[in-house]
This record gives sequence, C-alpha cells and structure tokens, in this order.
Amino acid sequence: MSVLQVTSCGRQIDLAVAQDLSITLEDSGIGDSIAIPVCDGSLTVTAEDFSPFSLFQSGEQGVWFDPSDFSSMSQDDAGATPVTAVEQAVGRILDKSGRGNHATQATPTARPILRARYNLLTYSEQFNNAAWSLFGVLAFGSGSTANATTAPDGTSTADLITETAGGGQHIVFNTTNHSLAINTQYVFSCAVKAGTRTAVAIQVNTVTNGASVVFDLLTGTATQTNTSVEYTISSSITSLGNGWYRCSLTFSSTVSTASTCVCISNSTTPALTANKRPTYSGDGTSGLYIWGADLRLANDGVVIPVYQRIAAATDYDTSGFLPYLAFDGTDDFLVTGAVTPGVDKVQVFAGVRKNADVAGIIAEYSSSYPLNNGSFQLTAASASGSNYLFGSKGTASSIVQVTIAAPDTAVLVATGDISGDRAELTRNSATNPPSSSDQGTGNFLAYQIYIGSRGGTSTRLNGRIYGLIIRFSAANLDASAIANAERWINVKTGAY
Amino acid sequence: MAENFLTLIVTAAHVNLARNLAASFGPGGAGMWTTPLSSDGAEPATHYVSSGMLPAEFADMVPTQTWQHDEDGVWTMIASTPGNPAAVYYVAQQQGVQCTLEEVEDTLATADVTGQPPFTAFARLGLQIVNPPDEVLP
Repeated sequence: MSVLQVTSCGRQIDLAVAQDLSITLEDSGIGDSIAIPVCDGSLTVTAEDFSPFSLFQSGEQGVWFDPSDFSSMSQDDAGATPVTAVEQAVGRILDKSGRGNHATQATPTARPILRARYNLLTYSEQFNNAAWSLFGVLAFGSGSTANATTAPDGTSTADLITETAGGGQHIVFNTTNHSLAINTQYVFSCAVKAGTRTAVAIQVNTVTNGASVVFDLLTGTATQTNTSVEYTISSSITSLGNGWYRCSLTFSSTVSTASTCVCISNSTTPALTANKRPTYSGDGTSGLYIWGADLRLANDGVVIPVYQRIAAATDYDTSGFLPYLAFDGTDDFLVTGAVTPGVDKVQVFAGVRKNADVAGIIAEYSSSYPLNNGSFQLTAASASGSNYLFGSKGTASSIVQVTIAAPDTAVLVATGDISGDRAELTRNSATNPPSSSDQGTGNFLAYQIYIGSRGGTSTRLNGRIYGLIIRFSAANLDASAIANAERWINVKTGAY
Repeated sequence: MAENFLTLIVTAAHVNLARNLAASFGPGGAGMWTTPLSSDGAEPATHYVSSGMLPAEFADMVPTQTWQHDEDGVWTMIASTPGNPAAVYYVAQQQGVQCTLEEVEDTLATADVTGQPPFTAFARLGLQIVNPPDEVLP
C-alpha cells in the first residue's frame, strides 16, 4: 500500500493507493498543465520538461554530454580552469547522467574547441579591415567612410563605400579566397542600403568566372541574374526596415575556391565583366551603404539567425547560435574512463555535423569496434562512403547505415540489442530499415568511450558534436522515451 | 592563460625530435603529431600534424607564417615570426632530450606553423591525412 500526499488549502491529505497512481494529461505536451479542483482552490499538475537525466534513474550506465552547458566543461583535463566562453578548448566535459563517466583530453592541441561560429567571414561589419579589399572604391578615410550611418541593428556601424572616378569595377571583396566544398550550397549575403547608387550586385567568383545577382534597392527586388557554367545560383532580398535590405546569393560551385564580392552598380541591369561584375565608369562621388556580411553553408542549422556578427575569427555573436564541440579532423578526441554496463542493449542519441565524408568516429565503445567484442561504433562517414554508420556487436557484428553526403547536420538515434539481434539507426527521425543480423552473444563489455577518434590514434572526426547521450540498459527504451530524447537533442542541434 | 590556435605540421624526418621537444615542456606536450599526412593519403607519411590551442608562451617559441591569397588566388606568405629555437634547445637540454641546437633549428625551420584551419593548410601544402585501410567497416 502506497500513500500519495497532496497538499491543498494548506492541509495535507494522505491518499492511500493500492498501486502506482498515474495522472495522465491527455493530448498534452511538455509544459502543458491541468488544474484539478480541490477544496476552494486547485491542484495543478504540470508536464515537466524532459531531461536526459531521466534516462538514468534506474542506475543505467552511460553518459550524457551537453556542450550547451558551459558549467559542465573545463579547459584543462583536471577540471581546474572552467570553460567560460566559446573558442576555448575543452579538456574535460562532465558526464551529466550521474554515472561519473567524464571525458577528458590531456594533450592541449588535441582538445576539441567549444564554438558557436556559423559565419565563415571575418570582420562582417568592418569593411575597412584588411580582411576586405577594395577595387574601384575610394579608400576609407579618402572618400569611403567607416561607421557612416545607422545599421539595421541600430548601431552606427554601417559603412559608406564610394566609387572611384573612371575604372570598370567598383567592388569590395574578401582578401582571402574561401575554400569551398564543391557542389555544395552556400549563402553569401550582405545588408545594403541605397545611397546615391541604388543598385548592388552580390557576386561570387574565381579569377575568370563568376555569377551574380543585381538588386534594386528602391523596390527591394532582384533585377538581373547572371550565371555561369561553374555556378548554380538563386537569390533573395529581405527588407530590414529603414531602407535596408539583406541581399542574398545562394550558390553551389564546381570549383573549390572562390571570392565573394559586393559590387556597386550604376544600373539594375548593368553591363558585366566576364566574371559577372557590373562594369561602368564611376563618378568619384556616388556610393551606397553596406553592413553585416555573412557567408555560411546553406544547410548549417535551421533555427539560427541569418546573420552572425563576427570580427576576428574568435570574436563573434553567440546569441541564438547553437554551441558545439568542434573536432578538427586531425587529432582531437575525448575519452572516458572504463565503463562496465553488464547489459546487452544500448541507445545512442547524438547531435552532430560532419564537414566532409572522410571516415570519422562520433562515438566508439572500446578502442576499436572491429577488434573488440561487446562494443559499438557510431561514425560520420565510413570507408564505404557518404553515410552515417552504426555497428553493434556481441560476438558478431551488425551494421546499419544511413546514406547522406557531407556537409550535413543530423540528430542520430542508434539502438543496439545484442540478444535481440537488432541494430537501428535513424537520422532526423526519418524511418530507416534496421539490421537483424546476428550479433552473437554476451553483453557490452567494460571499455572506455572514445569521442571523435578511434582509440585516440586514427579515424578522426572532422565535424561537430552538439550533444551526446549513451545509455546501456537491460531493456529497450519505449518509443515515447526515444522521441523525447531525440527531440531534446534536436533542440541543441537545430538539425530539423 | 592566453592561448593561440595553431596548425603545426612537421616533416616525417623531424617528427620524432619534434615529439620529444614538445614532451620536454611538460605533460601537455605529450601526444602531439600523431596524425600522418602525405600527398596522396597513402603510406608512407611525409608529414605529421597537430592542431589546436597552444598556450601563448609555447606558441611564441615556434616560428609561424601568415599566408594570404594574391590577386590571382595564389598563396603568398605575407608575414612570419622566427620563434626561439635557442629557448627550445635550452628546455630540451634541461629535460635530457638528446639533440643539438642545429637539429632543433632545422626542425623548427622546416615546420609549417600557421593559424589556418588544418584542412586549409593541407590544401595549401598539397597534403591529406593518411587513412589506415579497411579499419572502419569490419
């Protein structure tokens, strides 16, 4: 016999219950509540937010790592120097499951970096910085003016760029070419406001080839689209108020390097250079206002703002941008102490981004899945190609994979059941046929968990980890619990 | 403690000494340069890389280079720092690392050390990571 104590109207009421008492909120979601009238008030029952901590309440072994929780990370492996900001290396991340399986890295250069950077440019609001070059534009202080007017964010940080007299092109461009993944979509955008010039071209180019879109800054429309064989493009223009527009060029390229460029235009349908820049004879006094340039992979996060302020590479706005551990693909990894599950089932929830399709370990149980029984592996890409791969093994290996090319952001849910001969992997909650291959016998044995590398010596992850939950159990999780954990990881990842 | 992000690439001929020199500076220097590189991604490795945050006082000891694209998109070195091979040699001697000053100087002089992301540095040098064959899929 159990007793449920309910306090109402200042009185405690003991309710004897013969078995477990459950209060069901039908058709409810997290945060919903109902009010049960009692006495002259009400008893409120609220559906609490899901926490991964709930997955470990029966003593299940495993880990829960949460890079969005700065208090759980230290810059050194001993835990003496806390992580306080992005762009700090992480030498120790605490296991929030309660099992004490913290992950560390003793070598400073091999530590992943806590990061929340999405804009690939630098000095996004400082076109007078050396990160930008001018051609056919008067130098800042000699006709062009830094911080000349109010920007869309209300600060006095928008620059005036003024064309030179004569010449053909009147452009501001990145000093250093970008290294691009070929046939992969990027978005280059800039906030622009009409000055004495009322048209602008947003352009991408190599030395001899390029593509651009011309925008009318009075009507807020794209007026000329200029393509080439190397580039596939589309565009958008969005009003930011007060005459400002964010002019965006979405492009993919067959070449691996490119420069991005903001071009003053004398017309909404200008004459063009071979690489699709407006060309005309400037008057030495006309110009327009620019601010807030941004270049990013088009599929990099679905819930983050379209513009991220950045100065130096490590100085950027983090508000609204999801943090992650960045693994450099060369030597970064973290490792736990030995874990002893004693059971034959595992569930893995991972928020990840892979930058390239080179085999990389997200999480591996033991120093080498191919060599060790009672282990599992979760990889971003593999020797077989562009995929995510999960392997679960008792004394025999069962492999399941999802095919998707890099770069890609994903919430991966992997479940391994040795005695049930089932290995399942889903990406972004999409159905994927499980594997029923024989996994042999036995439990998951006692091993360390490696994150970002096989055994710390190879198969390096070139990508990000937004969150990681690994839970060993004697019983499988029900669909509701899996969905909750998956949803929780996606809030941290922004994959879909 | 201030830290600098660096990508440090050393030649295979100098990697053993580089590892010993780094380890002589303390436990944090151990385990560097474990990732092999070559022009075609196959053995044998011609270079090794470490990449990440390095305490500023250690970063100042290694020579660095700054690269930038010229107007034709060609990499051009626009700045460099000499590092401090004498200081590195001194610490190595204190820790019993067997080497000469000339060997330390040669190791540092042939190293490519930049603030570039590692894969940008690889592309500039025409290198890629050597992946062990058939180790991921059983």
